[in-house]
Amino acid sequence: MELKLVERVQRENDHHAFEQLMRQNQSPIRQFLRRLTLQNQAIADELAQETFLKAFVHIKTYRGEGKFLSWLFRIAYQQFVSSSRKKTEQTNTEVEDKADDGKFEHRLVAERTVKDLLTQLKPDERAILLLHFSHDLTHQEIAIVMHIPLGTVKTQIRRSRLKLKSFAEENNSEKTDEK
Amino acid sequence: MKNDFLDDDWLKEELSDEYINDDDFSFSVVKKIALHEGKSKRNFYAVLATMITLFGFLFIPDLMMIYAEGSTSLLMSNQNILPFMQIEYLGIFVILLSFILIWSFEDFDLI
Repeated sequence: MELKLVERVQRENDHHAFEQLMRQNQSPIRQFLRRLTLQNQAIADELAQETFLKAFVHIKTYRGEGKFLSWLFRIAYQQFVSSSRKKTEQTNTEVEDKADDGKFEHRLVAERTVKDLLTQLKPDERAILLLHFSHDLTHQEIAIVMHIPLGTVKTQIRRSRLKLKSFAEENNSEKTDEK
Repeated sequence: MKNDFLDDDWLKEELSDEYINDDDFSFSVVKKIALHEGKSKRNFYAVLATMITLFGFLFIPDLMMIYAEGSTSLLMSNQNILPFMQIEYLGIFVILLSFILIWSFEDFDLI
């Protein structure tokens, strides 16, 4: 079904078919970008729009190898990386602002959800974990999306899990100290 | 928190997000696509390609012949028409090739 819609867009430049593809795939792409941008919904949605615009312009380069969603994730990740490069200083300030925010810190300790701990990882580590656990991509698909070797994907997943575990333990010990 | 970071199912559950769906998003992307298509430089390139090809067809061989043989070469006899046409076709081929290259640049957002 999805492939037929893609073919219609490729052959006839069909906006309606692309709109349907967008409806089917917007949720995972927007969720992914929101998590990558530390829940900055405005930036995430702008990146998501750019992702779909780019997908439409370059849809003829999609040859049906692999899932269409994986192809979209690839564009989304590239959009995120290039926007991060442009706004490195700005992004750093945003992250520092969040870290300095007392309420944010308190929420982190109080709730201690994995999603909160995820914000402490580097963007590429965050992306790998999200693609694998939140969006069910295989190691091979992640390697293609992120342009990295398969071995690196496996190592990064293991390493990032251990990092999350250590962050959680730190938070737990902080909470115990507070008591 | 269970804190079992080696349990795949638990991590999947913890990292799952709520489904996002709003028509406004799709609508604004479709609007952006329409705007992008309107702004496409393709028509501009088509006009430019036609003009340059025409210019090349009319003048480049003449200029080449003037350069090679002097201005008297323009007063050619009927026997000289065939090689003249061959030069014309070569000129057109080169010009069209350069525009195909420009179009492919535009398609990949390189310019």
